[in-house]
Amino acid sequence: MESKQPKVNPFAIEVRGVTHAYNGHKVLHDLNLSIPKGEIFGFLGHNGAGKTTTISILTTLLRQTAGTVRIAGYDTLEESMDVRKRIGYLPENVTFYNDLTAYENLAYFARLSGIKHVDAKIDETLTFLDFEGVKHKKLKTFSKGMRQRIGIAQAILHDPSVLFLDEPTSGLDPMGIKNLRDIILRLNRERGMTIFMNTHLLSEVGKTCTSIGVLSMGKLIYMDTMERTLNRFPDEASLEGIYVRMETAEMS
Amino acid sequence: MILSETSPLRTIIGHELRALVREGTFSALLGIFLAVTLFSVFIGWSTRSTTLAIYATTVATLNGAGVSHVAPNPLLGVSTLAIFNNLIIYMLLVGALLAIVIGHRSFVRDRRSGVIQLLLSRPAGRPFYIAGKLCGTGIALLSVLLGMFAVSSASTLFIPSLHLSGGEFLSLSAFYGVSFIYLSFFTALGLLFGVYMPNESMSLLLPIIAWIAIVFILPELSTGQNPVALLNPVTLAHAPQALGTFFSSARAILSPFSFGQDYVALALHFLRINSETFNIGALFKLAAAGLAADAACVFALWKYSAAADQIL
Amino acid sequence: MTNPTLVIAKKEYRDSLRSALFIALASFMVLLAAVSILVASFNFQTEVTQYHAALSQLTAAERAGAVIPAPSYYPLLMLRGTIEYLEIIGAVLAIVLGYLAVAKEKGTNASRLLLSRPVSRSALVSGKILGASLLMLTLLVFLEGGIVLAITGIGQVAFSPAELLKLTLSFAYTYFYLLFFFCFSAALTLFFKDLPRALLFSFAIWLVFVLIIPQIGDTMDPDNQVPGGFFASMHVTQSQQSAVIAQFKGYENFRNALEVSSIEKHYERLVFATLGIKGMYNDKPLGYIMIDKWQDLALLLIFYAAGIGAVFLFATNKRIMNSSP
Repeated sequence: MESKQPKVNPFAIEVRGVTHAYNGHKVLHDLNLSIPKGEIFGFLGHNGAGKTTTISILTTLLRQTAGTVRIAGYDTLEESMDVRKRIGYLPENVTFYNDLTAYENLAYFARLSGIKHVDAKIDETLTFLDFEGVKHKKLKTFSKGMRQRIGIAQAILHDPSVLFLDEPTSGLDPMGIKNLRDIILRLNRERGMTIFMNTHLLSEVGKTCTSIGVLSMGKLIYMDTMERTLNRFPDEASLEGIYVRMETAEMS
Repeated sequence: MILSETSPLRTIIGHELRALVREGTFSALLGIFLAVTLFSVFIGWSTRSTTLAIYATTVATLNGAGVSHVAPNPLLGVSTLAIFNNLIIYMLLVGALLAIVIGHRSFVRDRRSGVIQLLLSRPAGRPFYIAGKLCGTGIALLSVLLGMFAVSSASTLFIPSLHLSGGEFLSLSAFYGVSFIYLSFFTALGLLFGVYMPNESMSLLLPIIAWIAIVFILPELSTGQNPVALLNPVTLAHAPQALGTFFSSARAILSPFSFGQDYVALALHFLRINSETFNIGALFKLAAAGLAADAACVFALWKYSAAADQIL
Repeated sequence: MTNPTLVIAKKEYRDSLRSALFIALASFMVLLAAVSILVASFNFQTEVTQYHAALSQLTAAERAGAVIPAPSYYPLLMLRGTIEYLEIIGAVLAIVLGYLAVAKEKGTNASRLLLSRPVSRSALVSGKILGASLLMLTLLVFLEGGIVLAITGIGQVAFSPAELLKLTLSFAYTYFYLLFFFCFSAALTLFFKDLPRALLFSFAIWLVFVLIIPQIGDTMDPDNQVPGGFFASMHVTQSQQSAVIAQFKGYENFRNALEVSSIEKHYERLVFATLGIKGMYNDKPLGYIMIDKWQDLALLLIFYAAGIGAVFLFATNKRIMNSSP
């Protein structure tokens, strides 16, 4: 697998006029997003707004009906293999091969990502995540929080430049949520990863993200930096108010 | 009254049947089964009439060759009912699969949807639930067989050469009765694995494997016949029993489980293909297998704990 | 090793060897093969005993001039039961493997993890098929080795090189047959949204094509209508029989068409001819058998290719992920 020269592009994620329909039913309407490198982008929306469809398109799992998507400068349809080399992805409620150990699971995905020195890379990643002790335990003995950490490990093994997380805090207890938040911040600061995170937990967005977008019924109804968002809605006590205001304004 | 409008038993049975009919899987298999019944009548009828025509041609050929004494038509003594001989195989194979599905879906449906806890927490309670499940699956199986019975007897009315006498009609009914007893074992087996196996696919796969063992493996072990011997009723009816101590001891050990052969023997008798195969012991054995499986279901459902279930 | 097809094939192979279900079914298959050979040997022994009894009866009756043919031992004929079990249980094993190969990822997010790697879909599908192929070849080599050892060891009969070649070729045909069922159930599992339903339909179709259709062809055979054979009971010669059958071409064509639609029948005709289980091919040179049975071989390979094609066709992202809006 030969890697091309990295493309010079200020944006980690560029979405232009993306529309998607399932069996004639439109779930995304003319979506436009430009996310600069180094951002932690929170993608908000109620259940069924189209967040997972969007993330599936961005990670090359789904072909959009219309529009273009570029990740790290590469087109998701034309250059999907180049995109896949540069992204890490953690789906919601991640599942693994339960009868395999953590190491075997990670080694499988590492090899499929074309990593040469698999063992060294796994050790390095588990050390980064402070998770060395469980390497040879079977996944079926893992708690939800441990699974999520292995999920992060498989997503960052190959040093992706863009990391996609789909509802990463779903089902975690408060301690698990805090640990995950710390990992996300460290990946961004220490490794310079751009992070795209689907969530409906507003409290999380405030603590981690540098910019946000709000999706409602398949349409992007708001997008700005976190800082400007908080400035723009000074009268609202919490982010929830902002969310509710934007959603209700859109619906009426 | 136990089956009054508001009786829990009636509610559970009614729900059972409604749910089964609304599931595409059951309807698709039922469709296959009825089509197969019709097809088997066609096959049986066309084979019979072709063989008769072949007899006539053979006689003409032999006479032409100067042979004056020709053997009598070997099909002469064979009853019209014999055209249904393929049905034995379909009961043995498709019928068993359908029966497993009826039993399997019955419990797994409640289990997968998570309503089992809701059901068991109702005042009607477990005895009604268990009785409802057993009656419901039994009625479902009975309806399938009645459908087949209707198709097969109606087809004899439309084909003039296939006239059945009153006695033959009774024999055909007895064949369906024996089939019901045989298949009810598999319904119970499907239900039983549905209760015990944590994984849904596994709970479907294991009764299918048990069925394969009963139909294809035990006959070879106990009679020394080839694995697919059970699939040709005509030759099977006259197959010699293998000799030797190996088979007689294997026969003795495996006898309680190899009721596939008993079913075939009874079916051959009732379809008047081979009258020597009737054996009242075989009938008891079939019934005992069905009842034992039902008892195991009652026990499993009685002991089932929704709280400890991993599938939920 | 970073070739994704090989990485996937290796994992599939190891997964199956660790699966309790596969081990159980494979051991079951080996056990049945052993039993069927044992049963065939017992039957042969009985035949020999009966022959000797008949011979001594004749000698006692002082009719030494009368000659009855001695039963001759062909080791390959002992395999009839094994082949029939491969047809039935082997196909079930392949169906289960095909189901598991898809079901372990379909509908779980593991499919998303897999598809978001820089691995093409064709590499993914090829890896799965290659893994299953290696697994089946392992099983078949193991089975063939066991059969050769058992028959030479216990039966004290050596295989001639020609017989070994025929046996090996039969097991090669078995690979194509089994892989067809693997692909067929994998394709159905990709096709259906509901996994248990896919398994059920695989079994229903297996039932129709492996058991019912070949059986219909068999029971429709006019010669099978009477125990001992219709024509035998009529005392007609072979040429008279052919002349009579020739007048019922339509019926014979219909019967043949039914049989031709089933891969099992082609496999069985091919292997029974190769092993000489079908009497007219016993002791015939391999070249003769292959020329005579080339149509069955071609159709077996066509079914095989169609199975692989179906898996490639159905292995779309949407089906693997089992996603809905």
